Amino acid sequence: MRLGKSFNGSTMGITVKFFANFREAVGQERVEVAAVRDVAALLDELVRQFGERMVDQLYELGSKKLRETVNVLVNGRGINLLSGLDTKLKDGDVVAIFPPVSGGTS
Amino acid sequence: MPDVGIYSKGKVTLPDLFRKLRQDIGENVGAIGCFVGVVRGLSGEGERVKFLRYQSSEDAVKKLEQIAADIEKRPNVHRVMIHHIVDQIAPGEDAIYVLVAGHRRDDVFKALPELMNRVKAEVPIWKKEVTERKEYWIHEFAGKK
Repeated sequence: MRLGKSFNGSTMGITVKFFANFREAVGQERVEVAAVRDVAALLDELVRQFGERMVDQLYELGSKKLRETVNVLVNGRGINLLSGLDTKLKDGDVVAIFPPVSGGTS
Repeated sequence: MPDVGIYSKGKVTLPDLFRKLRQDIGENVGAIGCFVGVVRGLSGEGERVKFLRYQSSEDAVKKLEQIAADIEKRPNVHRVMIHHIVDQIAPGEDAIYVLVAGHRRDDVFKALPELMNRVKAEVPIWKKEVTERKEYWIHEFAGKK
């Protein structure tokens, strides 16, 4: 998907940051995705770009149910506190996708 | 401003932090407690660990500041320091230092586990364990237990 252009010609879109297993799956720290309407559409776009390796990380086996270990933030807020997969997105939004944190030592 | 940080290996040491803490603790401090998180040589399944590889987001320092500030607000806690190493860390090497200076030992002993529990639950830091036979992000192992 190509990125959109803003009124002044600069590149616009949604920034997606990956961490831990998601970063490994896509091989990049971040990507820019052209405008999509909501989080569900964004995940569909990521699956289109990155294929099965992204499906495996995001969803329970054989379903479209997000794994419990998947955290999605939109502009720093968890989608569980917003509208879940229906959370609307707009140009300039920053989405972070990561597993449960595990700092320190065991 | 709380004294926290994220470092690569070799950029922070416990003696340096301890020296700094002692410089400005004031006369009401009667206890200093310290927690050092060390990478273990055996995994949860008993396999030999080669190293842990840590990764953090740019928000990690901000979150450490929040946690340290929350605990530092207590009247009997005078100083909190949280310093995390985010790098490839071998068994026996340090991963995190947490120091607390307080009025009495109970204030310090109470604060240390609270700080560590919050760091583990709230700070955007992840770690991958690499053993002699396999490698996995820690949450992947937890899900299989």
